[in-house]
Amino acid sequence: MTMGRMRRMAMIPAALMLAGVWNSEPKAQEPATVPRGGTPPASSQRTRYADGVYTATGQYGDQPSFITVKATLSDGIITAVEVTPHATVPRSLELQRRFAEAVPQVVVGKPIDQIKVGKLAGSSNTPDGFNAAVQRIKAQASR
Amino acid sequence: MSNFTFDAIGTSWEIETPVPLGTPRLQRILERVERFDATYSRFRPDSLVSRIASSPKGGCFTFPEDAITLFDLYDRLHASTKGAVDPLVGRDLELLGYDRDYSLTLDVPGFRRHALARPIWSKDVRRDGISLVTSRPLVIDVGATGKGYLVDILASLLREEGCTSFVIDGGGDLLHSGGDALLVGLEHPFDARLAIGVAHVRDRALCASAVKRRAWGEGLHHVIDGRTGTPTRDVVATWAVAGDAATADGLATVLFFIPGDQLASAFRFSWVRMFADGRAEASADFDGELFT
Repeated sequence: MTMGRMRRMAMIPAALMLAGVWNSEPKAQEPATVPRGGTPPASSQRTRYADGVYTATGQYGDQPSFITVKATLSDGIITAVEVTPHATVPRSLELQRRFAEAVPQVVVGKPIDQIKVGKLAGSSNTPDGFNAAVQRIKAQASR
Repeated sequence: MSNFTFDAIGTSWEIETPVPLGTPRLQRILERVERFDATYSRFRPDSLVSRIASSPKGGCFTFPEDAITLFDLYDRLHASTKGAVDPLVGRDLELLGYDRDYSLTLDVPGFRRHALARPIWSKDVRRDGISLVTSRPLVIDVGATGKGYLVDILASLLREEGCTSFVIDGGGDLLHSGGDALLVGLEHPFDARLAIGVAHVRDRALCASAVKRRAWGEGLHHVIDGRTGTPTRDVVATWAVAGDAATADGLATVLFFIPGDQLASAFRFSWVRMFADGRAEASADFDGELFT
C-alpha cells in the first residue's frame, strides 16, 4: 500500500485519538495499528485493509461525550466518511457538528442538464492559441 | 434578457443585461478590453509587460490608473501566501512551455538556471504609485487575478453608464449585480458535462480555477507556485466568492496552495476546494451545495 493511502487510513484513527480511549467495533478485519505520523513500520506496508465499512465510537471528556465515525473502505481508499455527533451538552454538540461539516466528502458529478443553473463556473475556456498549439503538436507527432 | 458575447484575453465572455446595451456602450467595452490586453498580455510583443520583459536594464513603467487596485491586491496575496502567489512567475511559465508562441516545450536547463535566482515580487519590483520600477528584464504574468480584475473594470464601466442589473461572465469568472440570485453550477474539473455542486451568487463575484484544461504534459499545468516555480499538486479545482472579482479570482488561485481557513483573517470570502482523489470541501458560509 502506498504512503498516500496509509496516511489517509491514519487520519480516521488519529481523529478519534483526539478523543482519548476508544472502543472499535469494525465490521471487517481489525486494522493494524498505524502510528499517527512519520513512517509506518515496514511490515504494515504489505498489510491490506479489507474492503468494508469500519465504524468506531470515540469517547472523550468528563461527561463523557461520544462521537461515531463510519468510514467506507474500497480498494484501500476511503470513499465515504460519516460522522455522527452524540453530544448532549450544547457546546459539545456545536463543536461536533462543525467537525462533521469540516470532513471533506467525496463529491459526485451530476449531469448539467439535470440541474437548474443559469451559469457554469469552471476553469477558463482554453485559449485559441493553446488549442492551435496542441493541434500542431498532434500533427507533428503523427508523422 | 439580452446577451453580448465577445472574445477577450483568450476566452469567450458574455454580458447579460435586462435590455440591450446599445452600440456606444458595446464600443466602450471593447475599447477597454483592448486597452487591458495592450497592457497585460504576455502574448503580444507590443504590450507593456512584453516591453518590461525585454528591457535589458529594466526601467520605470507606467500602468493605467486603475492598476493600483491590482498591485495592492497582489501585495496582499503575495504577503498572505508567503510568496506562493507572485506575478513574476511569468518566466517560469515560459520555461515550462506556456510562452508567447505556445511552444509547450519544457526548457529544463533554462528552468534550472532561472531557479537559481528566481525574481520575487516583494524584492525585485519597486512600486511607485501606478509605476513599476525594475532593474532587469522581468516577465509579469497577472493570470492569477487578471481576468477577475477585467470583470471589475467592465462592471465599473457599466455602473458609470447607469446599468445596475447585469451578469458579467469572463469564461466562468463572473460578477452578479442586482435582481434575483444567480444559480451557478460548479463544473467538474475532469468532465465538463458534469457539475459537482451549485453556488447561489447575489451582488458578488464567483471565480473558479482548475488545472485540467490548460495542461500540456504530466504534471505541467498553468497554476504555478511562486516559491518553487513549478505547478501545484493535489488540489485540482477551486471556487471563491467575494465582493469583487479580482479578489475572488486571486483567492481561487491561492486556494491551490493554502486552505481557506488560513486566509479568513485577511480576506472576506467563501470557498470550495476539490482534490485529486475526488473529495471536496467548502467553507461553513458557502452559499450553495456540493453533491455528495
